Amino acid sequence: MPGTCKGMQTELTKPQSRRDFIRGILRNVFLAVLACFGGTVILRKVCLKADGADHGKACSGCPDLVRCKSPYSWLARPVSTRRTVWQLDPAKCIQCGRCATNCVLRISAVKCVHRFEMCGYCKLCFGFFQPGADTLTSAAENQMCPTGAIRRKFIEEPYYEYTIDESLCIGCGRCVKTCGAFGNGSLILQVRHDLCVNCNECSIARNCPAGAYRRVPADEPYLFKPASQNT
Amino acid sequence: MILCLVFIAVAVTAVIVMWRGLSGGKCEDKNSECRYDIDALKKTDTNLLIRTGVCFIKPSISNLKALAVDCSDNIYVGGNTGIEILDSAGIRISGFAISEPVHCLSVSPYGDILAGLKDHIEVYGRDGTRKAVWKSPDFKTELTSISASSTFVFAADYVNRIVWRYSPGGELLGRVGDKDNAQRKTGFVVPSAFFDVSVANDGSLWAASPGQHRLEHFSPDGGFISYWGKAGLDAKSFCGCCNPSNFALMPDGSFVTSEKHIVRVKVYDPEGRFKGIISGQEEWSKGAVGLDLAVDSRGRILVLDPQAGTVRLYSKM
Repeated sequence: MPGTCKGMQTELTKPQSRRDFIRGILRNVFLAVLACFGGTVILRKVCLKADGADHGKACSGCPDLVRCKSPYSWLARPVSTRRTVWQLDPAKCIQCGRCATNCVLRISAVKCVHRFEMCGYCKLCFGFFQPGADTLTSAAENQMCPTGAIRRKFIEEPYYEYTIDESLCIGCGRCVKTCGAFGNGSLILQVRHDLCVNCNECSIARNCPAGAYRRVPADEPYLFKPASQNT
Repeated sequence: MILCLVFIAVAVTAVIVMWRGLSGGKCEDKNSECRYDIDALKKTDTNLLIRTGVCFIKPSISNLKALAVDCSDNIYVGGNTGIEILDSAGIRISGFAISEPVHCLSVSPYGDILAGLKDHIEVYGRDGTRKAVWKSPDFKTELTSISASSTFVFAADYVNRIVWRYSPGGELLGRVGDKDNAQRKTGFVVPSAFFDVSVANDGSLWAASPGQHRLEHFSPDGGFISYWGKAGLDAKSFCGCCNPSNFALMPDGSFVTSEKHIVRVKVYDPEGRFKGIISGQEEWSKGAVGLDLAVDSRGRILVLDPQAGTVRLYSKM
């Protein structure tokens, strides 16, 4: 028994010989290969289900691979797409205003984004005007945006185009709230990745009451509502 | 020693106060959540409510989209799978399947069922036999409403922002509500997929222009006559970007309108003066939208609730 103890102690501290050292390396490589193989098998089992992404076919070439929820799907992805970034799901967002105040940046990386294909180009835009505004002019007292970040441009009677000046937008979400409540919901909040520093633990995500923040693949960094949700 | 303890206590207190102050209190967050209370705008003034009795009809088909009533007060509902016919009490008479979802529905004075599918109209008999398929007027067409008189059939197309005028036999006769910059006619303004039409007793056409918050009146041949309606958050006006989403004409020429965003069903007299609210936001789910309307010969108001899959029948008390 003392011999066994001595042997274990030796194995934990340093290899007994060069042969043991190489054997240890080979064993670890073998275990890693086995884990990859097992992961792929589990992934294939998930996909074989009726709601699987590719109905049992091989992962390579699967169009839904990037969005695949399987924990092992990253094994099949190209290395460049395994990076993830923070993003805000517009379907869950309740426009509480915390995106403007909880970001570690001085001016939040969350900005209002306008989906033009959903926009009605309305003369009376509730994202631009305060509810109950006396006149439909761009006077400051009529505007919903506290920083005047929404530009209103006449196209033809009675259509107007609304664009966001992101240098002024603070991500408060007031326009998003009223656009969703009274309009088509074409204004949404999104984390802009040219500004976001991609913290390990996003300060806004930690304080988001709706749990709207999640990590998404870096090659599909934006989450949009489908245009069919136009109301 | 005592002085030292006092100093430590003061230091700890100062640190706690600074930490709470710098991290932002709960009060501040609460205020930011309540700053724009849209729900307060949605409260219905009970003084404006018209007293009505309501009963619920539950058709057997799913994903209801369209509602119509014929001259015998039978109720027709259209959904993703077909059309169902109910009697005036809501008891099922018959039903038949259609290969495409029904987007809108009307019953002609001749008893034919006009089903508006995505881009064309199909004519069915009450027994479900398909009598005719009318050609799609445009490759972009998406129909949202049909209304028929004895001389014309009008179909609202929300993508082209136009009302198509057909003969009862299905011949395309023309367009109503075209945009004309030279005559400064803006045409219909339809920001979302809600664009309703209804034929009056005299054969003239009423059409909603939701982006302009008004109902427009046209002669049977498509000439513009007048309009009424204005935008606003008060009960007398039409709220949001684009309302009324649906409307129907009552036997006396009054209007019943339904709105989205602030969900409410209201009644206006034949001159467009506000009479009262039939149903307010409180009676509907938050996401209620697409409340198609119909009125029977007794003046009972039928409202389709697509989210709940029911038809509400409001009658005077």
